[in-house]
Amino acid sequence: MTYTPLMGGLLAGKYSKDTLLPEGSRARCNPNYWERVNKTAYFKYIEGIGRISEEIGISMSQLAIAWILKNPVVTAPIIGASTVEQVEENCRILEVKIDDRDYLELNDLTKTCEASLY
Amino acid sequence: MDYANLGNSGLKVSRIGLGTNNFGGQVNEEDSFRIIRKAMDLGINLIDTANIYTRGKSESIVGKAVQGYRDEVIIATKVGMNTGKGLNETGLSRKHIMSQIRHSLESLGTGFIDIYYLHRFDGETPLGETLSTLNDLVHQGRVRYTLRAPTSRLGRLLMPVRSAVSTTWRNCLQSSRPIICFRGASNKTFFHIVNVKDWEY
Repeated sequence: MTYTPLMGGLLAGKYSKDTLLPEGSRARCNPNYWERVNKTAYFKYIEGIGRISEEIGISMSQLAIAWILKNPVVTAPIIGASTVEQVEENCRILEVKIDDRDYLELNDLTKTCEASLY
Repeated sequence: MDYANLGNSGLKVSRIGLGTNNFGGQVNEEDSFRIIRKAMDLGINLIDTANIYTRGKSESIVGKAVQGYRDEVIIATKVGMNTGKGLNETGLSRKHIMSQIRHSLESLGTGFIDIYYLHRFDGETPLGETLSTLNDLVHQGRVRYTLRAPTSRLGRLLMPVRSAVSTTWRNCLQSSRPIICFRGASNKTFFHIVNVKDWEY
């Protein structure tokens, strides 16, 4: 079970590095969250997600979750929802499959993130 | 909906779980009920909450929402984070876990929790105390499965304690079958998954 699979919206492409934060957003309401995630390495990864998701024609959040679901040690990502529509969208992600090449490329990109975390 | 066994257990869960961190906070009670109902209609059977989410409101909302459907859903909740300013109102001591399980069961309006996680690592409590407490809860029928949730600091903390953890946990597993150890949870997903191999027990 994995939690914050979209890292509070970060992996959905909701925020860019050092830019103005949307009104009412998690990053705006919770400065600790933003301080923790506003890092160059994360945004390199996010660029990767953006590029690959465009190539295969799915949204960034779909790709981020499809990537987690493809990991053999993961059973179920825990995804929050603020609306009924978001629950429906989250369930549709199960129909999205990504190929091995994209999976491995995203795995590689995460290595830089790991280094910046600790 | 797709289903799979959770980790190395026999428990079958939907491959999407519902997070409830914002229920009773950003999302009001009525909308939370609607979301939970929708999730169940779509085949989600795994609902994840914690004793600290929205100061207990999340657990109460989940409890109310699943009344009449208790056997169909898998409720996961957690213990370990601060619930107050008192010295013993945090962590994974026997005292705190025993007090929090009572609160969680009451809030959820149920006699048992399907999955009880440790919400964080607690370096100030002997691991044996924590694990034997969980074991007792399983034997008492108040908890079905237990597992540990990693926190963002766990990856770092785990390094020096890894060998201690693996020995103790393995001993515990051998002596107490109802405790199931899951591999492969992750937290901030993209960096923890690559670390999973580091914490096989």
